[in-house]
Amino acid sequence: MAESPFGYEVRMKRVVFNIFFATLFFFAAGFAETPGEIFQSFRPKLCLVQYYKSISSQAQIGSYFKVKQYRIGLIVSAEGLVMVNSDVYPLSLDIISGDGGSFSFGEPSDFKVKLHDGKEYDAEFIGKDDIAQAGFIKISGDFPKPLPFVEFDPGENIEVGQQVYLLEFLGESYNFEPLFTPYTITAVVNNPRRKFLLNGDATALSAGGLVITAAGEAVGVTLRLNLDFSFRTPAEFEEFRRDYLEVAPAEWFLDLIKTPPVLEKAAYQGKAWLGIGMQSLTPELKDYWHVPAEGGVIINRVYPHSPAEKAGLMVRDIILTFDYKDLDIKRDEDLTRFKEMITQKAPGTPVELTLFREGKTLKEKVELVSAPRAIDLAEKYQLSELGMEVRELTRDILYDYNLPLDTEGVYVFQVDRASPAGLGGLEMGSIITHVNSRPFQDLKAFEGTISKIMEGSPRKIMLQVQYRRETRFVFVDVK
Amino acid sequence: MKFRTLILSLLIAGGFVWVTTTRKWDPPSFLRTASKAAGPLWSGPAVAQGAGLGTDELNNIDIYKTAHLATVNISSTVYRRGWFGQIVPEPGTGSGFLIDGDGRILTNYHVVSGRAPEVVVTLPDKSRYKATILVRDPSNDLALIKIAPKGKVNYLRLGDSDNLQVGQKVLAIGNPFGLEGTLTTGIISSLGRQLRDENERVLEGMIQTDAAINPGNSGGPLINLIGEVVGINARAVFFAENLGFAIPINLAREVAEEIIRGNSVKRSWIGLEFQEIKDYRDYLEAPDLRGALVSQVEANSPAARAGIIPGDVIQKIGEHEINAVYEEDLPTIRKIITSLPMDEKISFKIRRDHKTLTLSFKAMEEPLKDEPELEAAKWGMVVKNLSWHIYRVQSLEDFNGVYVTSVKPGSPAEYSNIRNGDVVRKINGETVKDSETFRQLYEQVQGKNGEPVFLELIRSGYPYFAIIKQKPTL
Repeated sequence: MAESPFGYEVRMKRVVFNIFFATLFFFAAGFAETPGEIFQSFRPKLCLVQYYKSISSQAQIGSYFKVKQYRIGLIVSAEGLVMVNSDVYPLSLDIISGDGGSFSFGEPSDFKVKLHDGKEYDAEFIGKDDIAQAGFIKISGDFPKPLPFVEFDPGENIEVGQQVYLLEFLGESYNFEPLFTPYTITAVVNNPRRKFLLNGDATALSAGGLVITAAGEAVGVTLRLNLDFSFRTPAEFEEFRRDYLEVAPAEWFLDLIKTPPVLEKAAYQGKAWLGIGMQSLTPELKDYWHVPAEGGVIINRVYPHSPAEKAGLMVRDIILTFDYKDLDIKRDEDLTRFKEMITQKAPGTPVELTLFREGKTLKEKVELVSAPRAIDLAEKYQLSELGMEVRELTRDILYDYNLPLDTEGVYVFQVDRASPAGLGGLEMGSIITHVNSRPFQDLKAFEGTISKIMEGSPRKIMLQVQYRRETRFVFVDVK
Repeated sequence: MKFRTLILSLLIAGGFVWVTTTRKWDPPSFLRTASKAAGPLWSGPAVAQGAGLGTDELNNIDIYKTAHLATVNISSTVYRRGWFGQIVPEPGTGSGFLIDGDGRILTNYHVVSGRAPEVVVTLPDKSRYKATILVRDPSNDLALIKIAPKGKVNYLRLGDSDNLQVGQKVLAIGNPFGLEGTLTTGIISSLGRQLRDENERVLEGMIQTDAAINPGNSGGPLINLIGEVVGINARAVFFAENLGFAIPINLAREVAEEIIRGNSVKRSWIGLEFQEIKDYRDYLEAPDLRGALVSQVEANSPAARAGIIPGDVIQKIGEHEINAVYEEDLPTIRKIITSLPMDEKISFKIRRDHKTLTLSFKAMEEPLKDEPELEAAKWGMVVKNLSWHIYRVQSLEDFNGVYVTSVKPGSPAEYSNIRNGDVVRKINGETVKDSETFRQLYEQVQGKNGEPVFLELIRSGYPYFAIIKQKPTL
């Protein structure tokens, strides 16, 4: 047997040495990682996401201005899954999530990811969850595998006063250098979902920044700023004088990382949906109706063709429990909590409700379904000769306009400013019900009808349009 | 040369000094035009002495001197919406003018709107009177009020607004602060204009003028060059220059006479909206087609029940031939409809799909009546009869209810989350038909101290429930 080049003693020394270092490393990781080490260990797990936002041009339908945008990306799997804020994809998917309606935006394109070593790779948008503000893209191409990735800790023990670090990027003028700042958790709020507040200011790219505890655990992601400056009351106005950042704890998106949402437009499954309009059971209404519960949800609208209608729920019913949980809802602001309870269920789940109806309590089983698709994802048809884009009538429009679900027509999604349709006075948001006095059922039928009319090269066509309950005629000069 | 110029200048200057110091200057008669004919109305142009005024100016001064003595200031409480939508009672001020020696005053409805518990009139001699309201006609933005003057008052002669000509000069007089009057001048820019006000109310047949009209002289007279009132200054279009509107005096006279005779203003309604047929004719390639295109048929209206549908062309209503080629022709049709008799069937000649048919049906009284706002002070909100705009936006199926125009911060109504635009349908289970039933039900619950009141509202087309907790009165 030939001796190895290293003697026994040498080998033993190495083993001891390794054990020593491993132990040291273990201690360092568990107890006393320095801020610098935390920064060094997380920096490679962040990447810069670059894409083009499409802003629809009013000059020509179907054409968009493309604007370069940047976001913080968190690498969440060794295979190149990257989490970004869901605002990279501004279109609404179903009638309950999203901000509703996005007439001015198209689909984003040309995603690119820049890793910490400066190398760029193409990427693709996969899907998003608006409620968790989480969007997912996947790096394609020949990137070095496995990638270092962020593993989140649920962060259940986060407390007010705790020190955390926020890892984010500076803006373009600073060449997107990473920014690492210590902050203090200033509040833990539970409405409508648990989230943390930090005493921080928003930098250029703070939405999607990574929040790390002093012990080096990734526990959350910063949310985007609420830029809705509309307010109704002085109290609401006060709300806008905020100087804090909101952090979504990892529990919001841990499951999404395991099975990321995949957007397949044709077969899109919406969030779970009950199909009611609601207001809160205030203490005053509770006393007036002698309701045997502290809070609840009053149904003030039952959407046609919804699970609520199927189960026979009625306007003025009061929901006291949902899935065996009491609904402690006394203010309209708290209704989001109930909406969240619904959307967190999977479509198809049967749920038991306790209702209070005309002085009696009763139980009702409802099977939640996935919410109908939003107009953003509807089938479209562009008529460039006339300068308009129409879409199939989706239920969000009919619900919003209080029109029966069997209303026939197409929805005017876009009209070019100086086009024949625009000059004729056709307005976005209206419904075309007749062309040249001919009714048609849906988008397909509209395509057929209008192409036949256009073949005859007419000078003028007559559209009968409807907006909510108003009807009128629009005459379009065909050039 | 120089010497001659000097002599000439001296002569002119001397002549001027002589004329202005030694005699009352009377302009030659050919410069006086029509103003002389009006004789007793004028104080005479003595004021012009030496001021170097032109005929036009002299005439304006003459008219102003007489007319401002009959133009009064009217102040009342009107409710406005503040920054956060709260109610702000504001002293409203506007003008009006005396039309007879008994103290009757014509003005705009909006000058005396609001609940206006007290309307105070200040005459140019600074005497103040409480006025009683004789006529309120919001649909024409007209009001007739009366004071009991202690002495003789100046009043204005009413002219004939049917004979107005575009291009004719007019003067707008106002009395914004109860002190001196104001005068602006201009010409008639257009006649028969249609105007939609902030309550979606359509005012028709308006006179458009470039004489500046502002909140101060609104309600005041618009006067022609012989000193007759031809219109009531109504409103200006904000952010537009030289765009003022006045109500033709013949309309005001008609309404006032009807009401003084004891007939209230009733407008007939059939439930149709029209579009001009210019484009429709082009589309059909039928240049000779006459009529008006029906653009909308209100559900459950007389026209809907009779079977009229959008796309019908109405060619004759009773004995009136209908033809609206341009948008400007539409007000005439609306006027024909609002003045249809309600007690007999009217025949409508209609063209539908190349065929002509006749449908006969009765018109009904316009279901939504424009009444002044009503303040429910204990609840902290102001309500008003439904408008067509609210009726459509809230997807109402019938005409019951009143809508909330403002909510006071810190009031029981605000606490109950009641908002502007909400429609109050029921109070404690009782149907609210209009602002009158609202007032009755509101007063009824005042008797029950501190008991909660249950309101059923409509918001965005769907029910909303609210409890109002009244503070017990001490």
